[in-house]
Amino acid sequence: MPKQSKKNATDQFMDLLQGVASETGHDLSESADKIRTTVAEQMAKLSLVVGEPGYDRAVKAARDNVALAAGLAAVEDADAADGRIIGVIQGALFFGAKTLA
Amino acid sequence: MNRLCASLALVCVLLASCIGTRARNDALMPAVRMAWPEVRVDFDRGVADGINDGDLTEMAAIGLRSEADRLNNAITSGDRIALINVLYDTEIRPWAGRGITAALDAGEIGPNGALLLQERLGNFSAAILVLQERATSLLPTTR
Repeated sequence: MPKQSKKNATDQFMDLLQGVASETGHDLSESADKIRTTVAEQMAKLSLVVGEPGYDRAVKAARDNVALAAGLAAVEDADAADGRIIGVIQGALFFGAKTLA
Repeated sequence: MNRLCASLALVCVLLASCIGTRARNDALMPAVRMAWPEVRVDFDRGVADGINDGDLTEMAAIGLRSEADRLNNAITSGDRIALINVLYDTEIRPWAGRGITAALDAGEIGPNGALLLQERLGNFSAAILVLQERATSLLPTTR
């Protein structure tokens, strides 16, 4: 029986994000904590929206909240401004939202 | 549908990434550009609610929509100087907030979803403020 991963969705997401950052030659050390916290918060909030009307709109709002928070952090950390980093954030959040739904 | 939207969003930002790491002044624009269409939906909902409740005349609504169009043009074109003159805080943000409340009252969204939309409006507004401040710093000083 395969060993179950102990990592939660946020940790897996951050591993992915750090991997992309590393591959593209970026250092997210200044923004990583902020992004990690925002993703975890938005995922938790999205879990409360399941079953409510307008779920799709809430998913987009959560996506935008992470991207805007990352963008605001990126004002202080130019590496986080790269579009691929924001792309990973969006993709991961949509994947998480789909899992929740 | 979610997968389609995610794919489209991903393609958009991957295209944007072809430019490479942007200068710090450009860091927010991709996220603002992505969030704006949904904020516009909230704004339009709020203006419609204002007209329905008699708080807005059609003429006043035309002025508000015109301001939103100016913001739209500045965001889509990336014209930061044009962004400076948009009356965001007085003409757009309040009506976007009202739109979220109206959608909640009408049962179009739930209470937890409304909180996420309000949070986005707050983040979006903070981002617009940063962009406007930084654009102002780009203006030549007169001596």
